[in-house]
Amino acid sequence: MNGVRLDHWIVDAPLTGVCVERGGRYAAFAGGDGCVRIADLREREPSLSVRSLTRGAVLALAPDCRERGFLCGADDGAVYRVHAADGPQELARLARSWPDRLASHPCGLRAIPDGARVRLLDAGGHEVAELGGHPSTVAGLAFDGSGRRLAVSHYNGASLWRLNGRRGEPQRLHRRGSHLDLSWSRDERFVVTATQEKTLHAWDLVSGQDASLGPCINKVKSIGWSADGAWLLASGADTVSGWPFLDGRLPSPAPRMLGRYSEHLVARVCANPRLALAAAGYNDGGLELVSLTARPRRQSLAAPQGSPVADLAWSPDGNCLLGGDSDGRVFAYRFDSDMLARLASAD
Amino acid sequence: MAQTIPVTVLTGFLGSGKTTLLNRILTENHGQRIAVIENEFGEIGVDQDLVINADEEVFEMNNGCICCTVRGDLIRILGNLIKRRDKFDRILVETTGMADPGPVAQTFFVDDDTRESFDLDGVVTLVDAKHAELHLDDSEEAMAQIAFADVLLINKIDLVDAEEVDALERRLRSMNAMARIERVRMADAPMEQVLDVGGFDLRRALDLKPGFLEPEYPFEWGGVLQLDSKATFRLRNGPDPAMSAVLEPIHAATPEALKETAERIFTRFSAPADILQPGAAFPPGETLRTLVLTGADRYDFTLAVDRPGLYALFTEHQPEEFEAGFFDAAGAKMDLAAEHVFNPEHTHDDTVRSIALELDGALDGAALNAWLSRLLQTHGPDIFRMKGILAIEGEDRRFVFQGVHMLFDGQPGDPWGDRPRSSRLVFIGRNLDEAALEQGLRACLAA
Repeated sequence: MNGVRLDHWIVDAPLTGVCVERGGRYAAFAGGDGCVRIADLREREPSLSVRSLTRGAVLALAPDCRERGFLCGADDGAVYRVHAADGPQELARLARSWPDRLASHPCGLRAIPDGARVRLLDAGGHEVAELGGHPSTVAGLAFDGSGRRLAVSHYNGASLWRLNGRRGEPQRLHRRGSHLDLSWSRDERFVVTATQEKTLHAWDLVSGQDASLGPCINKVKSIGWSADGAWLLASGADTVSGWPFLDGRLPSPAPRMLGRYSEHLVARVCANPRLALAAAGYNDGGLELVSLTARPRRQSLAAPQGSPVADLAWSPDGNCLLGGDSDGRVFAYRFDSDMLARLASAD
Repeated sequence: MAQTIPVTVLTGFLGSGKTTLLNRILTENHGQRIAVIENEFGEIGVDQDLVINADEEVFEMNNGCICCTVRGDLIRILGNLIKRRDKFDRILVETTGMADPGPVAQTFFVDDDTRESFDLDGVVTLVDAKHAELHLDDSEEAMAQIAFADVLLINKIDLVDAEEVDALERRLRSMNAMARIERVRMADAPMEQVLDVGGFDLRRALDLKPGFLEPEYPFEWGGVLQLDSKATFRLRNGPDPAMSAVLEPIHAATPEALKETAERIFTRFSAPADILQPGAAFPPGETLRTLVLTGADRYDFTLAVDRPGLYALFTEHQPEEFEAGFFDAAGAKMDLAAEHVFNPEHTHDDTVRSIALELDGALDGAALNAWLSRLLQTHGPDIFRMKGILAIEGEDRRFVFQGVHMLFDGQPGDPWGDRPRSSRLVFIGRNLDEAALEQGLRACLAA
């Protein structure tokens, strides 16, 4: 394939998370061996710089609020800030829960779940608030685009916390069942959760309506929004599932199947932040790009290696795709922006 | 595909010895790496293994099934454990004393990711020999813990009489006919009794051999006396104004001989009885005697035998309930040469019990499906466990299934070959109507 450079590594531990820091220069791979490995995407032939955090697994990885930093949750309860140029710095240590989701916002906030509570830390690492009263252990965490609200998913729905001004009680979004991953639409009008029961649940914060989307074949492990905000994308079926939020209304439950059907289920989907395309990783390790156009096109990137794609992430400029599988094969694709743009405007 | 990791669930009321058993398993030299998922009150201190605290968070599924509750925290903990490079060989889940094991078991039925990487091996319930009766009388959760168990460990048997343990074991057996029951002292159960039980394994469901209780006796007591000519059987007022009894020659003065004789004579208790007024002679023989025990404060009956020897007396109630005694011709108190307490017919009316159905011939697949789904819809919340081997018309292989409440799992097993087709099902449930179940299954017989 022209217009792309691939670097790949074998790290001998299941990939547990991948992301690119807010500056777009460094990528981090979290592993089931307790290490975080950092690659400098500006280097022509990047190598992985290894930071060991715990004997067990790194359970969560997210970009930190400031550039060149990452947030990492270890299975000994410690939460670290790992900086591209420094050693790990412990931000918190949870006594009896696992930090398996983490979130930050460039305004200088970090959210760390601690059982049924969420601790909010500022950029200096000081705890500024504790958000409690959730009906169960916190599952999903997401700041809205402006950093004014934090959405938290848990049993029987989600809670939206207002972070500036008078905080008070959160807005409760109710729906029975266990709500796992959580995402804001790009216009902050919709909040969507992935549920234990292989569905998604979407709340329209303007109209107050909500809707169940799906079900999918499998539990949805990753959700995201297309660059233009028009499509909600999800894993869990034998092709990328998409729901149009085109006219600001809740879509009907059945998804549009984007691209061709595959024998294997989509394990991860990750929308490109700039262009109308998404990366899809399959349960057999296959990887491809799908254009989110009227007639979706697929561009295969990697042949199946047998084990499921564990995570995927785009760099903020949309030119690098990072990922890996549960057997420890990790990769970085660096694309020519022309090549991606051609695929994204294929028809 | 990587091998699945077995998960064992330990349940039992507070003080039943769960922590002792856990520590025993963890410190035994077995060379396995074990992760323990403890309840929030747990406090074991074994540091070479991973101990994780769980909050036992249960949620209700949205599928309209009221009994389908799931441990979301367990899904999450297991999901995080499987991400590690160095995997564990085994997981132990300890529940709090008051926990219903249902949600833990159901978690393994409803979550695909959990099923893919883990196998629910078995539910092990510790039962405190001293306090179990009390817990069983007033706790739904204690009942559920017994009903769900694959292994029941009666612990602390050194603190109570053997008879009490016998009685408890019978009660547990009547509730759960599928579990293996073991007696232990300091939760000192060998690992192989507790681990690799295969309680939810369909392949092992094929050796379905429920241990139903032996027939219960219509008498509570039997005793052996050396009778030379005459002796007096003296009773006082007791819980009943009359009591049935049988006197019968016996060859030896041992409990074993008493049990043998009991098997031979117990049908006599359903025959018409000869009424004996106080003061009457009570000879040995085929006839059941009913002793009248009312209207006075002392009742004497003369045990009269033609030939001297050992005789067994079987009584409907225990003699001590009537302050009974035996006296020889000279009026001296006689000792019993042997005695045995037989299991009374009505000990407890537990609402939880096991029901086994057996039916020869092949079943109509569609009819069976309809019957089972209707049964689970209406009685799912009351059915704790079920297992079965089914003969389905037109199928060459035995169909095996097992389930929990409304959820079940089934697949074709080995071929029938030349064996006659027959189906066996076992239900452990609350307020189940055996006759209705039997009728329902019978209606599924293929034409």
